[in-house]
Amino acid sequence: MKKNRLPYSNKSGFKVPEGYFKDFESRMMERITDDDKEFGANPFKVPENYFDQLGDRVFDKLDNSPKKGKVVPLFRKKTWSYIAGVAAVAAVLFSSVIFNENGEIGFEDLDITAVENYLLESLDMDNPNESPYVDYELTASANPNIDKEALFEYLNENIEEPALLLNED
Amino acid sequence: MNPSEENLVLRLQDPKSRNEAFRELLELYQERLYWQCRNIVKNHEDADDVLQNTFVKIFRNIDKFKGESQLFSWMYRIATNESITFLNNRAKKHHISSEELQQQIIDNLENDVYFEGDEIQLKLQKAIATLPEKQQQVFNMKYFQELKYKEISDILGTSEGALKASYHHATKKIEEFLKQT
Repeated sequence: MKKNRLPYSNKSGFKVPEGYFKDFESRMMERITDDDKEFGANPFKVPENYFDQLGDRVFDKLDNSPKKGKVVPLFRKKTWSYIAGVAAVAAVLFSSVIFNENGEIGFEDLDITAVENYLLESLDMDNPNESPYVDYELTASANPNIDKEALFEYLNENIEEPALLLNED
Repeated sequence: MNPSEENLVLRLQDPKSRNEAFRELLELYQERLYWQCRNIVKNHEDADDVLQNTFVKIFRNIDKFKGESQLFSWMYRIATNESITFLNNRAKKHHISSEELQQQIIDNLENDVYFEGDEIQLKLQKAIATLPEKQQQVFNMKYFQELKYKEISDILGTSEGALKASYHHATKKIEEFLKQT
């Protein structure tokens, strides 16, 4: 770097403060950076020691904030199969009312809407395995008009997991 | 990613070393991310809230980070989104537009103990608030945080050329605003 120095004559009488060139570069860079900011420096301030405790506060928040839960779909395929089951039972009951010709006391004495509502209200969407009609026994039907073969066929065609409906897990 | 960043990510993704690595990550990036949030939301308390939420999100989602971008850009994106979402939610809560909220925030700066700007700097903040959202982001990142165009490009997913043009337009609009007021 000596080559870059201009000849300095002691005779000129000019002197520079001690160490002047030592930190010149850093002072100059600081000045240049400041001058670059034609609209001024950042006016926002941070509370003292703010960053010292930030890590601990983030960890506290991590411990206390709720973790992401498992996403449970509102309507699952299983749920739809149960609803199909309810609809099938309701349809059978409804048809038994319409076509029951022997005059015996049976399901026709029930309010169909009330039965449907009861079944739908009893359906626990969060826990479909607990649904009441899982335990419903098709053989318990007292209505002789119901063709069991046809009912099984209907359920087999319309329900994805008939085993659940028939309680054969 | 550079090797040290890659190593940090691997440790973050390993449950055994996750907490220790996360402390390192906090040390490394807390100030930079703080200023990203602060430049958007302006108020320190709000920036603190947003920053903590940002780090919680980073911690919870680090397994999803595939290293396709720089870790730094990925975290900046989260911080930016968190800050913008925060402002949008606040505007919605108060039934006002984003522009009206920005105006309120700038008006509050005069009484903010953590804002030590003079009249010109306050005017500058008012001028920034008049810019479109993207230009505000570019201006804040370039002017206050002194990020490189390459870095801003990675964060915002915009070409460097478009960013330069955006910054140029932003400074011109700010100059005009300052001259008029």
